[in-house]
Amino acid sequence: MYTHNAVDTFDMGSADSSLSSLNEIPMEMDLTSAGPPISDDETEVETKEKKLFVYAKRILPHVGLVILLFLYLIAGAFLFRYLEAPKELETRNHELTTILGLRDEFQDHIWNITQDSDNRISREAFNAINQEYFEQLVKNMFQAYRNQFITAKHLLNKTREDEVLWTFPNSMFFAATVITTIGYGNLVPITVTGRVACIIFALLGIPLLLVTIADIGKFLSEFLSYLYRSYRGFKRKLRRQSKKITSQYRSQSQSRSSSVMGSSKAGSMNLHDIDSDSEDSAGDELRIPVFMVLLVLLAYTAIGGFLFQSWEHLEYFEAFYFCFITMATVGFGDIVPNEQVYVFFTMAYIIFGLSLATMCIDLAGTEYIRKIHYLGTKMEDAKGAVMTGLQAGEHLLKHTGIEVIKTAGGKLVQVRGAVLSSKEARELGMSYLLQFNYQHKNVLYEPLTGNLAKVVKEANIKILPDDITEKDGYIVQNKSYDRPVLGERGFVRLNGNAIKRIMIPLRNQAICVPYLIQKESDV
Amino acid sequence: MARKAGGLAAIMSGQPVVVVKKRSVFWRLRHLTRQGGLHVGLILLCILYVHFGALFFMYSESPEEQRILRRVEKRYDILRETFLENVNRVKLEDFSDERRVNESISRLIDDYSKHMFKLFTNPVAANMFDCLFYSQSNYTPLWTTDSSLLFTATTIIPVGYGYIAPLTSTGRIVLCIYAAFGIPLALVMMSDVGKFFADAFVKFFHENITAFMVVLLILLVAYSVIGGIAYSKIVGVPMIEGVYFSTITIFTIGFGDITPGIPVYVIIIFIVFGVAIVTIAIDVVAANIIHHIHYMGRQVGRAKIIADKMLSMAQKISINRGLGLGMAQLGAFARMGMMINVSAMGPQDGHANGGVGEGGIEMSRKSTWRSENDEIKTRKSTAFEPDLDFDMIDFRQPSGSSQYLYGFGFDNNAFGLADGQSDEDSVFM
Repeated sequence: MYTHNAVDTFDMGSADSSLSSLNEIPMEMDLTSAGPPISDDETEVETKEKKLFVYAKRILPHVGLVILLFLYLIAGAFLFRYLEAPKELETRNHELTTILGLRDEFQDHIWNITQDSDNRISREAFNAINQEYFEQLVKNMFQAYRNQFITAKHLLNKTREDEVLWTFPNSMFFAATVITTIGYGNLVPITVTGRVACIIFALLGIPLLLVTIADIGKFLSEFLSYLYRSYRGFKRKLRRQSKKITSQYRSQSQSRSSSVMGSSKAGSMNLHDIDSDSEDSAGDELRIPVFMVLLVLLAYTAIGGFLFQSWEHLEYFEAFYFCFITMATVGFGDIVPNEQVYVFFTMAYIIFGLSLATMCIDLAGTEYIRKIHYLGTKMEDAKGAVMTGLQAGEHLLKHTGIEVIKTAGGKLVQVRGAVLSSKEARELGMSYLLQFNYQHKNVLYEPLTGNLAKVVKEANIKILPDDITEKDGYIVQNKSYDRPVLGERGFVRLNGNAIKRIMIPLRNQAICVPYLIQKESDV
Repeated sequence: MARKAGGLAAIMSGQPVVVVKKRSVFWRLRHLTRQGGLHVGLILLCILYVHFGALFFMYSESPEEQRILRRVEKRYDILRETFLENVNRVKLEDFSDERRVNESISRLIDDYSKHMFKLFTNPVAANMFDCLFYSQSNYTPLWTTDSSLLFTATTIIPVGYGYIAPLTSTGRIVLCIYAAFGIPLALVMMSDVGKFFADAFVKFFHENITAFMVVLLILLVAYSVIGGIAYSKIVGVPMIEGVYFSTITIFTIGFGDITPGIPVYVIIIFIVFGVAIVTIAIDVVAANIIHHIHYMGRQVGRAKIIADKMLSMAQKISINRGLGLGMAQLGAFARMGMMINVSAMGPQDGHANGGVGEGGIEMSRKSTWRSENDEIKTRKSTAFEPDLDFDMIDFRQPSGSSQYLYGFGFDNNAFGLADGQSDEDSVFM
């Protein structure tokens, strides 16, 4: 029965491996001919029409996003104008009636006093009455001023009857300042319906704007990275030259030792070069200096200062101050744009500026935040290593069937609750037999592929013995101790596995590593 | 060099070096303090920054406020005296014609209104009339300790109510510099605190991204509504006004149309946690959306390059607040990238299998005691060998042969010395 199971498992593994190997050959051709990665992922198309179609298909989501944002702003402008303009007219008429009523009353009062020649009122009493009317007038005018619906023009009868504060440009500007979270506060909704609409408008609009400016910022980021990468092309060429020399030396030594593996060596070198180039590109992008980022932001704010100096007739520093407060999305509202003609240019400046700020944060800020957040994690002991290792282990388990993580303290911690059954192991490509009753048979030890290594690196976990210290957790895999073929006989045999894992068997017919047994007993 | 060689020998012999060290409680406490010290220090730095900024702006803007107040009061008195004198003159001069009296008074009130509206535009004057007409009390300065603290906190967060703003050029210049340094500091602090919560949520939901997003949105809405209800109960305003105020606040819009009537520290704590929740939610939800939109038009070719780009892009994706990529996002992108990469590594598997098979056959010819059945088993056992890294095969093959030649037939001590191991744990029993 044991031999029968072994044979069946081996055959199934061979078949799967053969099928996957056949299926993946065209992909290999594509990968080997890729060369160094380019910033644009275009592929050749036969005809010009197809090329145009491909370009249109690629650009459409981004243009659609910007158009969607614009339509959202227009809809918001109409909504707020529809909700707030009637209330504004009503409130303004009420306040005007109050103030004009006070004026008429005052006029009647003065006339009555003037006409009453028999009963002369004293000067002090007259002044007291006048002062009372004066304070009433000031109070009502100040209340009207606070509500922002009445200006001096209305009191002087110099405006048309139906002119409102919530004009279409002002409404659109208000909508833009809501979803950009600037919020000057010069124009605010008063009605309950307007406020509820403002809440819903902000809840839906803010993510939309953030996605749009992040999308625009990412294009700017790629453009800047492309420029920066071109600037550093010379260094990369030097690095590649030195790499070629090293590769040739290794090729010669390898061919001298064994010539049958020449083809696999070539493939390995090519993939290694691709990996190295990709890492270089990523490193270049991430290492754009912070000074450059700050310079870009400062230049944009200074240019904005000049623009608003000419548009809004402000002093230069006031314009710069306004641009800075706007770009930081603070928006005090002590200086606000008043010219209706330039409202749309102001909105374009704000949205583009926020995209630029997003680009700069994307290039420089994210890396620093990540470093600050994970800086303390390296100082943790075994408990912390278990936590980070568990995260990496859960990723690794889905791809290689690894179940156990050995911590810095020497304990084997199970990533999942259940041990893989033979069926699950076969599905994952791990087709070992369960001769021994060890609970943790799939402990990975060897170095991982490039992308797995990145995940392990992100989780601050190390996989090579010379990198491991007592403060780190690591993943161990020792494939030899559960191989039945080795256990069946009591002597070292000549096959590839024995060369990688040279072990002298014990006399009790069981091949195992003693320290591993000791550590496993602690679990 | 010695360390590297030892590591290599350990790899070859399949014995990782494990150093077990007993740790005392004092050592653990010291490391815990050092671990948390950075994050707590960041929060304390933010608190100190806000307080010192508040002190600076209060002492910088208060004298200017006092000067403007005196000037405004004088002008108000002058306007009042002038108005009363003019009314008296109208009464004395035009006592016989009602139409002329009304016209004179109207012209008088119009001039007076024009001057008053011009006076109202000054924030100090507006505050003076506010206290005079609405509070029925003496003048309350704009720049008090509480208002300065709220001003600096809402500057760097950046809510920006605009209740008060600097009027002097010096104040505005210092404010630009203060905000340029303070806003990144506050964002880093809130992102750092938020990332801890994000990591906790990731563990709690076992990296279920959809559940994580749904819970974040529910938490966001609940925080806003509960904050609004609490505010309306404390201040005594309608609930919709409270919810409106809290929503406008935690989204950092900050119109400033509603003046809060609760203590400043309570508002600041509410704002900090609210903005942190908003940034986490927007980061997690929008990061997915932008990833799909940005790469929608790209062709999914050259799987390995795409996978590498996805990983690097996943590390860099950030939204306006600069919050770094959460662990959940990294898990999602890493899974996507690794799945593509694993399928792309198929041809490498083919090469690896071929290489190992050939090596096995070559080695098997040297053995004289191997039978036919054993040879078949050996071939099959090497055929489905799991994924092996090319670098390891290339690097270890000749050394392995050498070690095997030396090690065969020797006893344990000699074998250990040949490996170059000096640790007791690595010696075979």
